[in-house]
Amino acid sequence: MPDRLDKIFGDYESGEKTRGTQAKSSTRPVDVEIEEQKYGIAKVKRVRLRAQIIRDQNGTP
Amino acid sequence: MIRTERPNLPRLCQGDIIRDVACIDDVVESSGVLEISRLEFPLVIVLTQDCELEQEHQMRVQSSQNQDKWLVSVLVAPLYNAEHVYRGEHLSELDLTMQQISQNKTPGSFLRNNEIPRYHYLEFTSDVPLVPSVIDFKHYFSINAQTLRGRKQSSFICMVSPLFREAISHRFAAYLSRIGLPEPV
Repeated sequence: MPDRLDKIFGDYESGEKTRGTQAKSSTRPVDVEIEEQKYGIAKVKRVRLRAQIIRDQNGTP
Repeated sequence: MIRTERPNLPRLCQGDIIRDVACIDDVVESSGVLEISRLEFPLVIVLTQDCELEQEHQMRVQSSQNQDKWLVSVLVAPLYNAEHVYRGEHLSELDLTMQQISQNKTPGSFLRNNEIPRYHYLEFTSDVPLVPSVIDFKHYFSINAQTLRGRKQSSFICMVSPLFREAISHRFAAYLSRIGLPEPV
């Protein structure tokens, strides 16, 4: 079971503990990112992946 | 306030809330380079009927003559942080601006009371590590059932309890089947 919100956001400034928005913290950025992803505070993101298609001698991908 | 539970079931269930689910947005091939655009949703809820999910599971675990109940995909809807929705910023990282909903005025109250057909507001009990969230019934997508089953194993948060999940499903179906009538001439 994940930790409760008040535990997760224990380092955040008061007033934003359970809102999950614009929270400022001295927590390291990486930790914040993990917490955001884990607890639904992060927003939808678009990720683009590029891949080279390799064809054989017959031109088949 | 909705009720949730964490049943130890080896299958997908209607009302499952799962984090970090991706949707393939677009695939373009140009000059031998494949570009895949993927939308990554922090949270989604499963909308597919629970009986269908259960029947599929039963057919998979029991020897069967056919695969008649197997599902091609599972329908899910994103959960957005309600604070982001009030400000119309929940899709800001896609460069989309949504309509603002005044949190402390009538529109915000209507939203929280589920009186706006387009949205479903969810507020969780204190033991669930989720902020108040909103489903926008204009936003839904299907995902490969096997992929989502795998995702659930590592990223399951909770399941919206029966009745509460059916309420979501029912409101979603009603919104999807609405009939837009033309304006009077």
